[in-house]
Amino acid sequence: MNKRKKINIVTGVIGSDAHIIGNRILQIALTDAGYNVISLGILVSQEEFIAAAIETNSSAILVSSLYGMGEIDCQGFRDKCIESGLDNITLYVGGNLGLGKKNWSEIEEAMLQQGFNKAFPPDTMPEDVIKSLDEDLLTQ
Amino acid sequence: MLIDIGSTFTKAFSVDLLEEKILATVSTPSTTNTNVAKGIDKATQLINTVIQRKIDYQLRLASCSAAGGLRMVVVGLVPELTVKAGKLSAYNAGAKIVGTYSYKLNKYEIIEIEKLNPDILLFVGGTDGGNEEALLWNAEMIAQLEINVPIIFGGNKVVAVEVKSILEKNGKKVFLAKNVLSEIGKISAFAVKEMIRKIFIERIIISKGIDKARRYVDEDIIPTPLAVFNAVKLLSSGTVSVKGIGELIAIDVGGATTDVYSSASGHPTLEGTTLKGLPLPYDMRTVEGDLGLRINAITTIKEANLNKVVKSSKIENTDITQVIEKISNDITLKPKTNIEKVVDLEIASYAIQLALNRHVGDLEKQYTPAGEINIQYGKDLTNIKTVLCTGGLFSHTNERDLLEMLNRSISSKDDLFCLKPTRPNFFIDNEYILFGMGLLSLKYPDKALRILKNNIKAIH
Repeated sequence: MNKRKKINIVTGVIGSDAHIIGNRILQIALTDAGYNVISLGILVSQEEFIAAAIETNSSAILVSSLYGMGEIDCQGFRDKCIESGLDNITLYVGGNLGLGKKNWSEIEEAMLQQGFNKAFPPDTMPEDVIKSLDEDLLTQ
Repeated sequence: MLIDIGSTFTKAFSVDLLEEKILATVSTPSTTNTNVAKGIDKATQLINTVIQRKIDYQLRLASCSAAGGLRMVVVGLVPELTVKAGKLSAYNAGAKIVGTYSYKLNKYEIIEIEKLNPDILLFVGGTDGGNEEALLWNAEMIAQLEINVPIIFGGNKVVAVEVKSILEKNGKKVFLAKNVLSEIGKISAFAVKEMIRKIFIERIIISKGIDKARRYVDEDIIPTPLAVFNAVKLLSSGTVSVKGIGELIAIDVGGATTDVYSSASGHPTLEGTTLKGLPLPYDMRTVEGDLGLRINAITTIKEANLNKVVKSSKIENTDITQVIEKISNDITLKPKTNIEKVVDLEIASYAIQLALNRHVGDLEKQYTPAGEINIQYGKDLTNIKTVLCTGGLFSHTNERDLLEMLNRSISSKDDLFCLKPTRPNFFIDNEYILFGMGLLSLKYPDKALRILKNNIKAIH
């Protein structure tokens, strides 16, 4: 718990998506777990995620997307992180990410190819995200 | 007696505090290059001549924009976050920003800052508990500056002590203030603004030779734009006993700069609009250092030609090159001929349009699977009903021409995505008392507010 207090995480809903509830539940769970969460809300551009991560020296960016355009909205994200000096930042993405795609493993593969460390399907429980973050951030 | 020591003119006016009346207003060439007190003495004598008696003043207050005003450089991290928060804090303190720098400084930028030779350097960056590495880098770079500039650090509090130590080891004078962006989405300009004011009073006034004026007044001298800012804030919000007039915009068109002040929440007025970006303060000032009627006349026209501005038909097919050259080379010029007046008004129109466009927010339409949505950046000032204008132009131009120019410049429906007022009422500060009431508000806010309300003139 104490180690989590020293870690900043940026989260929000990417692109033109206004579905906030899932992201808000995740934000509350992460905060209760002890992480410092910087929540950017809805309609967040890649640049806004990155700007917030730089100012707050965040260790991870958690991107939510529910309207099916997530795969498109996230294109080039890792590259922009690298350009902005956030080469090694942990990137997670979760939600209803691929319009028309039915197979989760296809979507997951596509997101990992884009440079995300992990991708989470719809209905992922917050505890699973916290467990992953602990593995990726606390053991470094 | 309320005095403003400008670079060119020292303005003064005399107020009867009991009757809450303005007795006389005068303007005389400033003497900041020799002995600033001579200009103040001259202004006092002129007032006595106008009133036809000598007054023993109960209170004398002064503001100052002489010697280039308060020139600042802002060094921050991300342009849209801490750099912007730093700039807003500096503007609200009455400063003119002569340079802004983002991310990690390099040696060429250090040389640039030395050449700019600001009065104060505002060093910000990182939320509290956020970025440290870039700040420590910048501290090492700023420590190498070969100019004696006071530095305000208003960044990540975690490294404040270390930053101070790095800078002080290299002989720099450092002042600590609360972080301008302690967390994302929360600007705190007050502490930095107060620190800027303190340094201005204690150090800048002396370095500009204005300190000699201090013995002629009863309180510390403050930057003129800060005095105007105080007046606008007072007029909008009122006091405990006297009601303000509500949300408003004020525009000060000067020879070198155009300042825009807004006291307004700026919340979206269009249903279903989402507000994005840094939340802006209710009382806000922006300064356009490239827009003005004299020194920056040519720059203003160039900017107008590059941007979509509404132009008057009065200057179509007319060669105004010589007039523009005359106007831009004589900072004391009051237009005499018809063409000079037309050109002066036209340049003012461009300055107002461009400055206001930069101050107000923008609306962006996005198309999503759920339909069309509106996103707003900055303040929505479309419903503002009061626009107050100040500056020399407004005291020597007839009302009909002013009204035509202001309607064309401000209420134009050409750009629906620029959130300017759509149907405001216009007022002018033709006695140029805004700065004075801002000064008086520090001692007698109720009187200052009543005098303001009685003296700003509606134009119909």
